[in-house]
Amino acid sequence: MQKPFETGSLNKAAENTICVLLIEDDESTAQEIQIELNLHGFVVTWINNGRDGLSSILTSPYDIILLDRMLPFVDGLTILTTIRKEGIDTPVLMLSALSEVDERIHCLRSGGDDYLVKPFASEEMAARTEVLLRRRNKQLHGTILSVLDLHLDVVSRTVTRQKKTLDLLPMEFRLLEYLAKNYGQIVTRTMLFEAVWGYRFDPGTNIIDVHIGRLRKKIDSDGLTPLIHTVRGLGYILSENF
Amino acid sequence: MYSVFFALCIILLLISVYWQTTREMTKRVDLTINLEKDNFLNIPSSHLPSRVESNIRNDLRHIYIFSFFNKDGSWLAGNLKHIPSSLSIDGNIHQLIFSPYENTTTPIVIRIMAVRIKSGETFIIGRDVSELIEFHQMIKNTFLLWGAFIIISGFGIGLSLSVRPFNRIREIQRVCKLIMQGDFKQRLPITSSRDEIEMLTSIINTMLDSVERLMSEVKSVSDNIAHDLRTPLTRLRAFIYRSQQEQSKDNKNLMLEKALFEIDSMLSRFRALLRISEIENGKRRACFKTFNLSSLLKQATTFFEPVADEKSITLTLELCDSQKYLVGDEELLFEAIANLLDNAIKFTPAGGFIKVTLKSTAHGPTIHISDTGIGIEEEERNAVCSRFYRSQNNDASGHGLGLSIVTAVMQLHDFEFKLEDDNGGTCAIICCWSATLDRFIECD
Repeated sequence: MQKPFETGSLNKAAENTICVLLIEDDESTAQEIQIELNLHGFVVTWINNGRDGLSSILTSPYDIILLDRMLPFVDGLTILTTIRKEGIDTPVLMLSALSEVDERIHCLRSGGDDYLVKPFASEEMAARTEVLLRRRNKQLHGTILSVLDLHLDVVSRTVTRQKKTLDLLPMEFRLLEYLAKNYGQIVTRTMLFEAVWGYRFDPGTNIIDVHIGRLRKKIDSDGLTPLIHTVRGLGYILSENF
Repeated sequence: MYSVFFALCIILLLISVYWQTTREMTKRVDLTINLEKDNFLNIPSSHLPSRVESNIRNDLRHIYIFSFFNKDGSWLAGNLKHIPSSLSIDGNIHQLIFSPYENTTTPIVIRIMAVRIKSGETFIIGRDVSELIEFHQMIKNTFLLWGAFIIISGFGIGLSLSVRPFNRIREIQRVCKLIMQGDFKQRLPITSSRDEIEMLTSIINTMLDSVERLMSEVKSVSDNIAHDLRTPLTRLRAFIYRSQQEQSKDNKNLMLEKALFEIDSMLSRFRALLRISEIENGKRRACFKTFNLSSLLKQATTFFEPVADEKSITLTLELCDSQKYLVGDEELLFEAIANLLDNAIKFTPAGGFIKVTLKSTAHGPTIHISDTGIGIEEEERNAVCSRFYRSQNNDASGHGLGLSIVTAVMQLHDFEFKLEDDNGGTCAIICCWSATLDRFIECD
């Protein structure tokens, strides 16, 4: 698994190179996104208007699309509904300055996979992109999620480490489940709050940190290889070698 | 009120007419008696007996009483054989009830006068007013009957006529409630009637047009400011973040970290400001749906339990009903309760208690979040809900907008929200029913 912050080679033509299509009309935003995703090893194609963006999607395959809502010629929502009608199921991360709940729901119902309100932190965008890619790759299809000697059974809702059953509260299990499903990827506090509690606002203070701290005490007890790591300023990652 | 006034006027009118009529008729009778008295006083006493008999003969209706008595009270002439014991010989008219004739014992009502002349004899003049009394009674009965009919039918017609305007007022009340909740697009209903309510409705609608336009202008200015400041700040943040990433792990610049922290703090404030603006605009009303309030409170307390536990604060939840449902924006209410719990934990010292209670009242459910914290001074309880206000016992962390968010959420839902003292601590109370409708109900 490639570690974050390592500069990826932009000249890779390997089959497993992640190709990102960015359709964004604001140059500085686009540049920032490109820099961040390049650091994650992604190859980014940038198109600054909706008409050419739609054409590109229909003619070339991409692993993921970052799509601005308001675009010249053809707006992002029209692009989204068009490609879904065509049967293109590439994950789409909508980027929009419109923060209303109705707008977000509308975009998600039109086929968007996630929605990020501008202005956003680059690392938040990168983390959400990685999560969508992971979902696309469907790496975790089984009912048992395993990381080193930690096993999580999503059906029976049990967790074992070194064959010893751990007593987790329901919320702790859901936290761990989300981390495990995104094993090796950084997830931000906002993403955790949204995925586990289902709410999309800033919970403030350090509540998520406290919940993770409690979970860590149960998962990474003394003597065991730490699996839950804090990425300062970003979020958390579940990995055996971080 | 007008109906009562109308009824009172009718009653006074009828009483006045009755009284005037009876008084006038009695006055005329008395006038007749007095005229006869004057005639008798002008006649020499020796001629009085014959005059008395003459008057009796001329009284074809037999309604008058004329009698003449000697000095000793013995009868001399007339149709009344004795002076009634209850009649004073004072020359004044009195109304008596007695049987004046020998051939009948039926008492009748008589207006009667007894006059003693200079020579010592007494003459009596009287008139049977039984017919008059019967007439008075007939008028009285008629007035009572028709008066009651007029008053009752007046009330009935008044009530039926007021139903339509009352229904219009209720409809106006409903729309006003929506407007007060922030939906400035609503307008009062216009009908085809050209009455005072219609004139007032038109004026208010015009006023609302102006208010909506002004609010929109003000809102767009403040939103633009917040939004426009967010973008350059985010870019600045990206620049600092990028600089930070380019440093090696062993050579972290703490100043960059602090700068990043400060910018994140500022961005958090702007996000909160814009969120309050969005809530206050009522744009979230579209997300109202029925949800389980009991589950929401359970989720909120579970969410904050680890934080409370870290501070050795006991956080408990008491539900009156595990299936209490409410219509509202579930996410916003969770955020509001999260802010209140966050404040409670912040301002309660270690070892303290926070209790979340869901109670059921006649109006609807109430949520109480009480703590054993440092409390809020009475004069500050309104001010702490203002944006950026910090209490005297402020905590340095946070953006000071938590209670503003709570207030905005409560206003969107039209719930009453108050902060009260609780044995030195604070109790935040949310009354989960429409405050405006309740006030209107009390006025009915």
